[in-house]
Amino acid sequence: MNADTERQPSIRASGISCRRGGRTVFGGLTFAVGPGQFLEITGPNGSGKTTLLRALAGIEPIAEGTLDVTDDDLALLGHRDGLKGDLTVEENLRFWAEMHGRQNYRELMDRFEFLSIGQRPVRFLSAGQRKRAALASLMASERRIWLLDEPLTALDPGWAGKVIDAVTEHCATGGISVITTLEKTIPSAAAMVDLSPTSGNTRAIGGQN
Amino acid sequence: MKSLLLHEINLAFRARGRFALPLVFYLAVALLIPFGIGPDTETIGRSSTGILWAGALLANLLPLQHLFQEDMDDGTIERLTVSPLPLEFFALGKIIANWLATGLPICLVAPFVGSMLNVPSGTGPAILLTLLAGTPALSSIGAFGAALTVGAGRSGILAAVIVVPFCIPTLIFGSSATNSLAAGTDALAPLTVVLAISLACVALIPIASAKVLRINLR
Repeated sequence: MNADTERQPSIRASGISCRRGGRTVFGGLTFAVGPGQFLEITGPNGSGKTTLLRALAGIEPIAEGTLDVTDDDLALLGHRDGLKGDLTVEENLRFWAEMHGRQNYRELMDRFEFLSIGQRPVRFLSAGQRKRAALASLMASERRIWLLDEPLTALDPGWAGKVIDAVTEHCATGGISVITTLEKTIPSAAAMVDLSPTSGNTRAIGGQN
Repeated sequence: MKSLLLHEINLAFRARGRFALPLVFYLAVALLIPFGIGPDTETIGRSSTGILWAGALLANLLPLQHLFQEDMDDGTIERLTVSPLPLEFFALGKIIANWLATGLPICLVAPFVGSMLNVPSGTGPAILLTLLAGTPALSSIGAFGAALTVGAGRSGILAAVIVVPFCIPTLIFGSSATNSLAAGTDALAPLTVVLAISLACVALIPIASAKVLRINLR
């Protein structure tokens, strides 16, 4: 983990809203996440989950409100996973590890069971295997805030469980995870932002842990 | 930065023969124009530097369509914006890798193509030297056009239309430098102008490209 001299990772959003093409995607969101916490963003298709995640990453500009994110400690994994189809799993993992000055990708290949197919170009992988490779490449970055966009799609129940375990473990060691899902699926989530229109506004729920 | 560069070079050469396309195109241009001009070897000899330079400029437009588009489509740029590596370095790495895959091979074959175009004997080194000075500018300017039009759909054509006018100064001073060097007259002035354009482009365009890529991500 990172040195203690760095400031603690945190996300603080106060009344943020986002507009795309003149339409307000979401508005008036207020929530805060600190070290060890797990934020789950839910909502139906088109409710702005990905936009919110990209806003947290500083890619999407926010129209109103204030957003304070420890932006030098972020890793983002969107639907477009940043893996190169022509390169092997190992080459992709090495690239994302090295972009963050890390070297630890080999144990991740072990953990995500890529030892047998690690030398295969990513374009030959199944959707679920590719998702695993993408998550491994995110973990290889060793950042403390993880922004994951629907990380459980295409995964079989066994692997979905392992991914949730990995995320929970990441939080347990002082990291922050922000995950979008279609409906609330992760029991260990400490806080939740519900973007569905029927929820009226945001429910930022204080967590169990 | 080093690992990024190796990664980009690896990608540029891995992408199934894509890097060979500009080179083949260059050879085709240089070999077809003499057929159009006819059997007058003297005319061909006099037009040869122009053909070599214009061909290099045109061949350089071919990879632009893919330069940033794939990284935009597959999410690489999105993930890099939150990584510790500044996007400016990514753009620089892209330019260098693109030059190594496109510009450098063209520079290396140009003297041989020149001899087929009946350039005055002993001009080969002049062609190589001046193209080496000028192609980094072409690669950089092309990269900026590619960054500007990424996400615009069919961006290759649009990028080419934007890029070509900005490449003209390099073409003028470059071919003039080649001619002066070959003729043994004072080539210092055009050569330094070409070098200045290249250095300025390589230094400034990564910054501009990164800015434009960030805007295009929204």
